[in-house]
Amino acid sequence: MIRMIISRLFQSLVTLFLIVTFSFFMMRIAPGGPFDSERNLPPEIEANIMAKYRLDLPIMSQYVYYMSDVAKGDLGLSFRYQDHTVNELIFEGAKVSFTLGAFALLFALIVGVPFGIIGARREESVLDHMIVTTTVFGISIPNLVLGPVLVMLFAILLPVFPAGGLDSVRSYFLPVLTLSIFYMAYITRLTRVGFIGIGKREFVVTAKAKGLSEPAIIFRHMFRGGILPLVSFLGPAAAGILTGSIVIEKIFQIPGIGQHFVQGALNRDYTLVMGVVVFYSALIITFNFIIDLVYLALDPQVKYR
Amino acid sequence: MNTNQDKRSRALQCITFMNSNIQLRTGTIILVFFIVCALLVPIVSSYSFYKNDLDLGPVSPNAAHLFGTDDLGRDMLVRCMWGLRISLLIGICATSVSLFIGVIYGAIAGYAGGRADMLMMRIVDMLYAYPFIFFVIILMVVFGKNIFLLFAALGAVQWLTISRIVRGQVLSLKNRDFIKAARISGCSTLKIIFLHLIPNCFGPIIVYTAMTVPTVIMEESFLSFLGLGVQAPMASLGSLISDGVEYMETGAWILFFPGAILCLVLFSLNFIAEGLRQKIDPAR
Repeated sequence: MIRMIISRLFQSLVTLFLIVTFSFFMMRIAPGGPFDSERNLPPEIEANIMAKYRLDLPIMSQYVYYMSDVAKGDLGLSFRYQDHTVNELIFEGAKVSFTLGAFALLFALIVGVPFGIIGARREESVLDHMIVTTTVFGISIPNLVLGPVLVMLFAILLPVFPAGGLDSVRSYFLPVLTLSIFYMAYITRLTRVGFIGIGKREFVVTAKAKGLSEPAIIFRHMFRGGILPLVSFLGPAAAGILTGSIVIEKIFQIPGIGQHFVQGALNRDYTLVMGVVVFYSALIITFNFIIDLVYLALDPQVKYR
Repeated sequence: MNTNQDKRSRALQCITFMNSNIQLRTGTIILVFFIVCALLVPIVSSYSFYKNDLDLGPVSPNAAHLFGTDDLGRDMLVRCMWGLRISLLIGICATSVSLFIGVIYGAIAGYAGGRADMLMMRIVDMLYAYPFIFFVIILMVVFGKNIFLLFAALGAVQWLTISRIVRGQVLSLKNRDFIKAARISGCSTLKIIFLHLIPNCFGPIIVYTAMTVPTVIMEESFLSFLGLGVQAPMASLGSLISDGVEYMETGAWILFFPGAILCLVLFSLNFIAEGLRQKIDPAR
């Protein structure tokens, strides 16, 4: 068990290293530098700028410098916002994006899991069919359509919620809802599938036969096994919510990390884009590692393999 | 493979199959309708997707412009149908790329087995951790916003799951008697993989392909919405929606039509995927 955890940890670190390396060289082979628009600078000033960002060094030593900086947790200076470090920009944006993402995931779980369980326990009933069909709609509505529609309905036609910004508690409502619908639908489906699988097992039939109440069967006997498919989805879900929030931030004009990333990409602000990629990858890898541990704790079959 | 001798024509068999499940039927009808519209409307219509009519400006839907016009006086119906063409094309091309890579990779890993298999699947595990949409965005920034690059890039990031599925299938198939027989009779490894193993994985492959098409269409619209995908004056549903958001308060129809079309197309594709899953692969 300990060996497995250590080998997972090692694998995560290798993955992160490869991702950083790969992204670094991708950015460096990019044609056109970040300062192309300022081409008519005097050569000595340009040399100064290049030196400030270590762009005058050979690529391998740039790489070594960058890697050692990243290992220390320093993602460098932004090419574009020259008085900001990438760390500052990411930290500012991350606070907003994380609050949004965390609420969205929580909301999706609170609604999705109960509906999934209901659907599974009443499999093939009218209610179950309704739930499944609704989830197909939930999965099909892209958030870039849902967001504007919600703004139109609840901010313009019927002004109950603000259309943008994150100034009040109410202003969280529309962005969180937009972000969570897809995951709500997906979580419902996964929970349903998980509980249907568990429900056919003999120990559940036994529990029912000896007269246990439905809540006792669900929570004491089925829950642990039933949510396993859901647990393994949480890793990709977290990654998806992070990227999904890029669109949400654009629609609702929220100054999150996604806005930085898109702006950085459009401005060729390579250090910022690199920083966001490194940061997100590290985050997703850490999250996946934790999910693996949770899975290990929940599923006795994995433990003894 | 097909044991039941069906004397009817392929097309008729196909229609019967699609008609056998309510989700398949609904999905197919909507999808076919949109495909026909996307193909015919730009040919039949007298408007073009790029020609401005600034005197006209934005007008709401009427007899001359069924979907109205956008802020530059361009006919929204034609623009939506061009956008739909792009979206459907992305769906087909990117999915084909992902199938091509994923099926071959998965089949080789599964058939090779042992260390090669472990290494290849570890690579897939690692790639799962990469935030791929960022990779596509970087690609678009680095190499310019080229639509063919977009096809390839979106396809290249979707092959991971399909390779896992194919590998799993191949693993369970490769020790079956018909593969042993093929090997004994001197079939080459390539032939075994391509003629005997992959055709026997078609069920799950088809189901997963049907699920991939809406995913890539959604991702393309996501990129175009952010201004990183298809570039003006060419339109995709994503970029049309992004334009529509700007005129949301004054011209709701500019947002409504592309949004509704994108939703309906995704509904139909997801319904087809769901129906196929129920018919072909009910275990999951």
